Amino acid sequence: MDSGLPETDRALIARVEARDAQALALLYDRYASRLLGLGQRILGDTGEAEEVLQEVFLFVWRAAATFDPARGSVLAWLLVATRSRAIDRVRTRRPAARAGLRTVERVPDRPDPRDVEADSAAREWETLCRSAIAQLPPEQKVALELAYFEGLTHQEIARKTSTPLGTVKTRVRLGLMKLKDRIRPYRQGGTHGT
Amino acid sequence: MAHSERLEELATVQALGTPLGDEGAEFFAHLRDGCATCELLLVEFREAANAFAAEVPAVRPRPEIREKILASLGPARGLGEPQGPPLISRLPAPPEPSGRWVRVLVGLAAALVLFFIATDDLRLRRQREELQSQTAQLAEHLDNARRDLARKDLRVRVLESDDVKILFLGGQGPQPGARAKVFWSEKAKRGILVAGNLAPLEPGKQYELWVFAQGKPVPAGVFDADPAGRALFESPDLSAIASAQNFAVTIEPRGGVPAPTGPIVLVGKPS
Repeated sequence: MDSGLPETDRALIARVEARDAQALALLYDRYASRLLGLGQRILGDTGEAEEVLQEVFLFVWRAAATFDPARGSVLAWLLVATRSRAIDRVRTRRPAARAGLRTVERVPDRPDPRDVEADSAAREWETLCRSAIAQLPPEQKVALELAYFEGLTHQEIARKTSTPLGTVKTRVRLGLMKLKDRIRPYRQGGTHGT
Repeated sequence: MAHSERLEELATVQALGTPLGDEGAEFFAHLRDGCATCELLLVEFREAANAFAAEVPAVRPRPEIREKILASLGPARGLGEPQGPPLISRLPAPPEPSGRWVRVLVGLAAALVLFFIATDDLRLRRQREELQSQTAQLAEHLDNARRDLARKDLRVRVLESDDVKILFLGGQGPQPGARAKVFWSEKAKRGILVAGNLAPLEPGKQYELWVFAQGKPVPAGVFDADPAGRALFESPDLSAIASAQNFAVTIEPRGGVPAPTGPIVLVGKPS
């Protein structure tokens, strides 16, 4: 870009839709580290997380035209695509293998400062999200983490935490409501073409 | 269909990508009816759930991954050229001698065939994974439905049996304020315990129900109380015992023990 300003995510998606591979590469450079971190956190396996990362960017290449800005930001779209593929893989594992892999704790590589810290919009989003999560009551946070990272249903969370199903449903709903209200400023003012 | 708190709850389930089960049809019909509130909530809940991704440390991918992705897009698909510096290796320029030109064309055709096979394989693998995922979700849903049905059947058999007895259990030892009732059917050899005012237990502990038969305690299952101190517990089939004389609840190591070792918190006598 001649202006020196970073292109918005939406502009990059429009270029990808027009079969511009460089735009896909820019999106990759912007978000691959975050998506790989998420995939690795869910799968507990770097190799599988890398496969998911490839699937996601090939999906973006093929299906950029299906991105609908009314349904959320590009980052949200990419995170949903990554998480759903990773959770699908977790669900297809046998229970024993699933339990075994979940216990694997890998030390992530140090993130490249250029990837993470140079992006003020990403920093703003991270700060806001972490602050919003820190303000959640612990039981709501636990219920949402089990749903988000392990793909557990309400029933499974109830069994795992020995909590009545109704209580789990309430915790998930209230937790998401609070997060939604607290990250609204980013949705309204996000700079990456959200 | 009017907007309701329950539909908002379904929006949270959908936003988290967990199976909606039977309620899915109702929720999607509600969205098709044009509920702008649920449509917006779904978007906002998805963004809210993604906040957890911010807690995860970013992990820099190996450079080969980027190269692999960009190479697999390939100008050979005829999908346009990248702008700026080439990110994807370009096709070699046609050589002058006609023999080499033919070999390059044959090679290119072979590469195209291989590329389409690989793409198709990726698509098929993705479809297979999606089918496996759907099958797993349906199997889980069926299991849940079977368990619910079995539970309801048990309740009907115990609570509506003509020999059901209600036994009152009073608090003892460390929990004098605890209270419970056991609905016991001698025919079904099963009981349902409804307890209240139970104290929270330290990690690694659980409540264990005992049924006394011929003067001896027989283990009848372990259970947890909810944060409000309530518990609803259905005993397993206890047909091994001749007749239930009494019931008690003790605090035991999680998972239960064959004979009571911990303090008695509830005990009763048949009326």
